Amino acid sequence: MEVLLQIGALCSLAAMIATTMIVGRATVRFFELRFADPLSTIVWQGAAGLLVCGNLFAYLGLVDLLYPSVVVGFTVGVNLLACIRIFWSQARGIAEADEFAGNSAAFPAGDVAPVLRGLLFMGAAVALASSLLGALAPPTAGDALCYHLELPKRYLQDHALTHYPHSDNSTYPLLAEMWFLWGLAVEGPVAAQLMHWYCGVLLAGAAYVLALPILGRPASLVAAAVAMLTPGINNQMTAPLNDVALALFTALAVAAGLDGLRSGVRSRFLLAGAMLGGALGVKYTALVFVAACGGLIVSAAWWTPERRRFFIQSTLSAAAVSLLVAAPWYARSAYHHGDPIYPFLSGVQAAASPPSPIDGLPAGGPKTFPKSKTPLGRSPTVLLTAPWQFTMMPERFGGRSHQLGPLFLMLLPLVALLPVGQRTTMVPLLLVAATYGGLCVFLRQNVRFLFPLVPLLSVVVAGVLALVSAWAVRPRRIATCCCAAVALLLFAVPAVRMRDQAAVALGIESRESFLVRREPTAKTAEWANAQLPPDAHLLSQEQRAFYFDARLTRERIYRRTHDYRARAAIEGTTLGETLLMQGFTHLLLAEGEGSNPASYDDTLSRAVERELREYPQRAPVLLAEFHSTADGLGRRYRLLSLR
Amino acid sequence: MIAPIRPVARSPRPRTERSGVRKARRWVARSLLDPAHATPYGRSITTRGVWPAVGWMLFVAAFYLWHMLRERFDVF
Repeated sequence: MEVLLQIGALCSLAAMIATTMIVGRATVRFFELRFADPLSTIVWQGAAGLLVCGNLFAYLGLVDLLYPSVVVGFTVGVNLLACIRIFWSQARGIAEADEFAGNSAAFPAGDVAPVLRGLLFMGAAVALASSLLGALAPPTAGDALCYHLELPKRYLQDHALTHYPHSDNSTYPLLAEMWFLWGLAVEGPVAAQLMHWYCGVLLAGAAYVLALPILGRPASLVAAAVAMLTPGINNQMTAPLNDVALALFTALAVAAGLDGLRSGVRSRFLLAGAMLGGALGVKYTALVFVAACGGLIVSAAWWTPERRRFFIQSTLSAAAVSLLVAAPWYARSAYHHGDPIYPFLSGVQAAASPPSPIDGLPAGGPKTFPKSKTPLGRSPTVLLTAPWQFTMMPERFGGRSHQLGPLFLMLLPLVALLPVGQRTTMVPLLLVAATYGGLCVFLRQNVRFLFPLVPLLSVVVAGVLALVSAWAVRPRRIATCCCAAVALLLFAVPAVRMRDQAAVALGIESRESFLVRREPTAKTAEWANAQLPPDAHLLSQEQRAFYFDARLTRERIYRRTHDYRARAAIEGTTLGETLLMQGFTHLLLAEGEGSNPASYDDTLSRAVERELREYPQRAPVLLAEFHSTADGLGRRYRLLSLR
Repeated sequence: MIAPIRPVARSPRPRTERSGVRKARRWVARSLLDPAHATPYGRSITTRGVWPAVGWMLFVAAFYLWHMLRERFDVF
């Protein structure tokens, strides 16, 4: 039975991938776009298909037509139409051949050493397979259960892109969440998670597309393998997050933009604009990438007056297309909050105002650039130490599981040894990477935010690896052994990581028992789903809401605008009565316990304890209590009914 | 009488034609627009800088491995 579920998830993924390819192919043909070779064409079609399908579901949500039957019907319909067209073409003897623009790298790199090339390809295959097995396990990532999956689940239930006032994330750009919504509608959370795995596969392809006109085909395949081997990338492919999707679209935007600069074809800039619009629809961090690319374009326009007009016109065209693609998300945020990039503009404005008397936070929104998110500080010298720190101590910057690995730090400085012509072709990639990386270091020092650099720098690393193969015997052998040892380590990481998920991925362990073992809220959610009424509304410090059928509001965000303690004191009511009047039916108290406790805000718990002491007859009633150490942190959950 | 030789007044070059600006503009044009006009690819790869590069690679790999071992293999 479990095996059938996993096969069902894989079939659902295959159907969704086929749909994106069909839609993408139709889009590419409609705009008469030609790409270098079949592999590039597949990557571009996949990305275009994701963009079109994601935006389609977003527009369906804006007009209240987001029914699971519509989503499934769309998937089945597109595939059926494609099958009918194929059979009709074959019956008529019509052969539809793709045309390719051909690839000719200006300074093709030599071959990477066969041993190293074999190790990298093998490692990439192991990383791909391991991440697929990891993605077949039920999702347990905190952010995914907080909003990446929770919001699509709610949208499918409401059949619309409903605005939830007590969820800061509900007005974020949610293009990636539209793909997760697709997976939820077709099969469930595992299929949704597999869509991000698919984005990772396309990301490796994007590194190939970037490298092809610079390095030629052999070294471009190595660039794709390097991107796949990055530990943070193949780790995130196992979770329904959005950083890999962001890196995919930023890489393709740079590829199309550079192609437009070289060839002078304006349609490439429109394609770059579409990809940049996709990146802006995935995450706000794309705005920083836009600034990095904008700096490059402005420099090029300034220093080449004979082509300045072409640059300006092309950049404006690309900007218009990207705004058109990303508009729904930013317009939605502006409509609900008056801030198109909520909470960032609101946070900057609120930081200047006195803190809220309720919880000490800046009034009107969360802190957007807190100092706690920049452990290295914001002085200019940080730019020199950041590459070393991020590589060697990623646990300080978001966690070791998102690290970029040592390969980039090892090989990027060697770009100075590349032949001048080849080095020159890599300058645009290095400029964009340096600008984006520098801005990220000053804004928020988290390794995940550096994922857009991975495909860009993979191209440079592949060029350097080809250079190493051209050295004299002794240094070549030492360098090859060093790179091989690192490559072995990099492909052991995903293989060892998935050992805990292999049983459920292969159908040997049930999804329920895996969740009980790995997800802190699993047992609590199972009890709540069985015992609570369908219209229950929970107030909780816990943010992992996905596995609860009932609506769950985060207490910290709710308290920002509703001081329930003060209202109860003013109106002379109990805590329970006040919260009942505000629409809640139950409380889910979450507290840390044990030698390694999880961290939760204890405001609600203290309020309930005081209520139990002062009004024992009218205090909330304890329904159930659960303890969990599923993720290594001790937690206690108490479900209470309000009265 | 032979007229004295006067130095020919050199017409001042326009600001935009100063050599540094011209070099920068050519460099940007080569890197972004037309790599085929960059300097030829066929420059030979010298060994100067190779051994320091090898040393850097070994240093980074060794430090990373040491740090990982120090964290008790907890790379994941």
